[in-house]
Amino acid sequence: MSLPVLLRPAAFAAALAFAPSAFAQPAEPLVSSLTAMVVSRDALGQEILAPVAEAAPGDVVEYQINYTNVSPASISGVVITGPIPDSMSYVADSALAPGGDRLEVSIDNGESWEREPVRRLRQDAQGRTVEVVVPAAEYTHVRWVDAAPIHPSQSIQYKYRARVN
Amino acid sequence: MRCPNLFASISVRGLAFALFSGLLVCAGGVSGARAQAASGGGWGPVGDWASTSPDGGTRIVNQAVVVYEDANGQERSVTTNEVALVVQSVHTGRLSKNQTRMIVPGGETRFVHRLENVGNATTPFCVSAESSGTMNLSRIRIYLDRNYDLLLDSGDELLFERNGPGGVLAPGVVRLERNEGANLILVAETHPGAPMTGAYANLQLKAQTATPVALVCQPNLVFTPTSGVFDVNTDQIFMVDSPIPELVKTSEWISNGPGLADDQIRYSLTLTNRGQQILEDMHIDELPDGQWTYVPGSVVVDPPTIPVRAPLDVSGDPLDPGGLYLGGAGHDLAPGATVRVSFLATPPVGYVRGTKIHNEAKVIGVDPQNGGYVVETSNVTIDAAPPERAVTLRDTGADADPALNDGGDDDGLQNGAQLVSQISVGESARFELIAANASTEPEFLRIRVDPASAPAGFPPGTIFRLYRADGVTPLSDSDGDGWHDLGVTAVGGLRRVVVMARPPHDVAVAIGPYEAVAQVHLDSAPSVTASARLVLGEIRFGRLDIAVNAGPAFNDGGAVNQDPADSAAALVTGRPGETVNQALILANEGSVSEDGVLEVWLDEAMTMMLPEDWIVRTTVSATDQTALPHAGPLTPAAPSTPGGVASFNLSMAIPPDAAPGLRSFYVSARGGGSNGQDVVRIDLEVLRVVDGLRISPDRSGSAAPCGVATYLHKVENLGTTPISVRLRLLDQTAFTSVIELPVGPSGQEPTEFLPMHDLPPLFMTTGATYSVYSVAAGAWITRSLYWNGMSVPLVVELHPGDWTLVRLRVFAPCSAPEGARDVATLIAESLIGPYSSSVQDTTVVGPTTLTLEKAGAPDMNCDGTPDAPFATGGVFAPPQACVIWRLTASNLGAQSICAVRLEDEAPEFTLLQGSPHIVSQPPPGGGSCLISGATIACDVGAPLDIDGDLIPENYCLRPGQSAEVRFTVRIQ
Repeated sequence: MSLPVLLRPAAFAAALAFAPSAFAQPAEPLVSSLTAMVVSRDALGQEILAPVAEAAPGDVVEYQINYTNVSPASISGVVITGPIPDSMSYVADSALAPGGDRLEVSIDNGESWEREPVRRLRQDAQGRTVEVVVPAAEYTHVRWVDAAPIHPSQSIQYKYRARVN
Repeated sequence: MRCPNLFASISVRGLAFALFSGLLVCAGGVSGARAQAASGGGWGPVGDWASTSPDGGTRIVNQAVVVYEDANGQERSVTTNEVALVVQSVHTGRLSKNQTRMIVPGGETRFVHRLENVGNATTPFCVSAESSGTMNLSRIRIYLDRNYDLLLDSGDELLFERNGPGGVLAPGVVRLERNEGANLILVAETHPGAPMTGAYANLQLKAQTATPVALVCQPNLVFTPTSGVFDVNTDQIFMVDSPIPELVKTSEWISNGPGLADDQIRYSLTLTNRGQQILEDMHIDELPDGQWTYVPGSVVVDPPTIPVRAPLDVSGDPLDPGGLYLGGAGHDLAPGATVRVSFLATPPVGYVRGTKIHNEAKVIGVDPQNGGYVVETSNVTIDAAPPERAVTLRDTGADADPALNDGGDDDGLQNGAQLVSQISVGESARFELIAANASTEPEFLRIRVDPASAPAGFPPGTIFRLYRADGVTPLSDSDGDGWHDLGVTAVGGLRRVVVMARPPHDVAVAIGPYEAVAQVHLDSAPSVTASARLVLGEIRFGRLDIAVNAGPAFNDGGAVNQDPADSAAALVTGRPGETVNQALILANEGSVSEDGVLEVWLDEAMTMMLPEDWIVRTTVSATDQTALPHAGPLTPAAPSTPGGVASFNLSMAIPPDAAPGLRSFYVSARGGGSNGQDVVRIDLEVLRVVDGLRISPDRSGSAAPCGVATYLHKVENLGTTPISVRLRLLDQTAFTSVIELPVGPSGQEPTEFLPMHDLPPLFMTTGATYSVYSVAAGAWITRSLYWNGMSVPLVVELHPGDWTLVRLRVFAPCSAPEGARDVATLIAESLIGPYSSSVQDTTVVGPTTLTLEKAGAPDMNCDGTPDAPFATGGVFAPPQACVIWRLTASNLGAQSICAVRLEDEAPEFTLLQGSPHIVSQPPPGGGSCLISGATIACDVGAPLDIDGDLIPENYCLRPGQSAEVRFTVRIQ
């Protein structure tokens, strides 16, 4: 005669309840930060960047996006998006990124993306429809696509500039 | 409409969505240093200098996002922290422009400058002036040109005054919101004894920012906090001994009706010789340069001696033929003298509303003192056709359906009236109107309904509510003046409005139509209005009164409810299984022809429906149970006369298993043509069921094959009401049976029973009688059986306490084996009501009890007479002697036995002698014998119908009966 099998389902559930870490989502592998620096020039004409909380109309602000991979594995498929806030205008050719990241811009609040120069059909002063290059001041977003993998402990900075209207 | 040559940039605070540039405003008496006209040559159109920076204090927030693939290949996103920047307030402005004037000793000259706030915040500006040069100005003043006419008027505010050189005087303060400007009139005076020719003065007009709260003037007027640049205008004044013509020009646009075809511009010139020398051969030139055309004959000149001259210059060369030219050789202007000119001009052909027309006049004369020409141009006037303001309000003229209150225009015409043909009391009439902006620029429209504006208005207490086109979103009255906001509407734009008009519930019957007027106006020009009528044809007055009795309040025109539903109008009783009826009446006391819908509910609020097992419905009558969903067409009641009345029945079928107790049913009548309705309450008392009918007892017995078992039962009425009883065999498992009723004799307990099928069926008339014990009579009586023509064959009537007998005879088939069992269920049922009772009779086939005895006796001489008693033991006889055998069959059982046959054969060594013969059998007999070889067979017994099929079986022996057969054999 076989002995009955003793089952302890309550203890198993308790084990699940008190050991969430065994089954929980991993901690965020990417730590990010954004800083804003106002661009000015010293007496010698050298650029000076200073973090400020205020900016005057016409001031140029450089936004710096910093990422650090704090996980033990590389992170790929990275796409970094930097908005151009309302009341500001993107400074042409100011987007900088390490490596061969592809820069794309949007003029429709992120609905669509394309590489520079952005061309559109618009009516000129005489009412004729012509193809024009959309000025950088009309960009609403910039982004870097297909960035290189971020290796463990690696930090990367992306930056772009915008002017206060 | 006439407006001065104002051209202002206004941030329209009251109109929340638009920044109108180029909006002409007739702005008389505006308080504060608000937006003013930009006039005078070269200042540019309004808006060129408007700052696009965000307001000071604006918070610019940014946050970046990164999307990536984690180690599991799953796409994830991370956002950075937010970064916020606050936009600094920039308090800065701009002054324009430098000018030059001539002046004479004791004279005065004026300069009009424009101060504009080009920062991003409201800024108080400090204005002051000082002079330098060889000319000492006796007084310098700065005025704020409040009425924007570029002229120094009594209403203009003195901001700053300096009497003579030196001294520190408090600057005047002008507060401007961002993108706003002000006109400053700078006035300089000289001493009468000031030195003449060659003296000059540089008059500096300074504008500085002031701290917003303390109004402390800052030393710098800056574009950025760190530039430190003054904005100063420097006007130059030269003292001359020459005629100094001062030419001031004003203009006003005159709109002569809709459109631009008849529009004109009135130009006015004021020419004053500020110098101390005569201005000789003065002529004034108005050169339209294609921007306008002089209306011939429209010029008015004061003094009238100044002629209109030909469009030729002094050299005789042609000038613009569309212009105006006055004066000429010989026409002088003395020192201090003034010439006033006004004339009309028309805009150029093809003028587009909003296009600015610039103009300046020129005066040329000769300086007799110094020789040479003196030329002076006026300020530049800038005019544009003001917007035409108009608004329309019309009915839709569409979706006409008088039967529907759906916002359609029930007359189907755009005729200034939106018609709703009819509503019922308690309903809101839905009107839809279309307002249109017929102005030449966007306008803020507002609308209201004036219920008292029409002579035949809506009933007092009618509530009008205004909604957007969706009919749901209410229009707001932002300032509570009764005009509701339709919002900014583009040129030609439409606004659809829904107006719901709800008369009071207790509106008295009144003859329509009812009218109100809806009005729409422009917020910018409240006098510009349009209106449309709201017309309601009829308020349908629905009143129904449903009642049990036609009392004084019934059909009284709706004054009083005859039978309100808060109490029962009638109480009826019934028992489970019964149908109870209640007659009802309905009156149309309203103004609308009704086809009242009748319904039955469990509550007055008409929310609870009847349970499925209750069939309570309205029918034509108690005898005509045709369902009646509608009360039929009821004509409306004219004032003071009764209306249509209908009668119907409430039929209540009580379920057989209904529990005793009180139930209330609410019968509602709802108007099909109006919302009139009424409810009446009928209470039903379900009486307790008395266990009134009983048949008893169950019985059991046995029967032989081909036998019969008989069972007697008692049927009694234990209730309190007479019961008509039907008796039938509910079920029988194996055998057959017949029900027998007692048929007499009268006056005693019945002894005779007849099968039911033997009793004549008659329709509802006196038929066969049956015996019943009558409690009332205290004796056995007979009553007539009857057949109700339905499926019920016979009915016995039992009064309360009566009882009778019924007999069930069960027939066992002859083939039934011993032990075969049959259960017959006999039921007594009431024709009306739930009463029923049944018994079960169980029959078992038992063993047979037929005996056969064989005895013999010797017959020595074979004469058929036994020579000794019959004996059942052996019989001795010599050869050639005979033996007589006797066979006796006896039924010792309790059941009759049929088909009895006796069989035997001659023993060995014997021969049958003669034929067997039946000595005895029950009368009338009928048996016979047969011989077959040495075997004999005799069927004995009498015919008897033992199975009740009216066909007698043969050769039967009843219990206790016997039959004897003898036959003789000779011993070989």
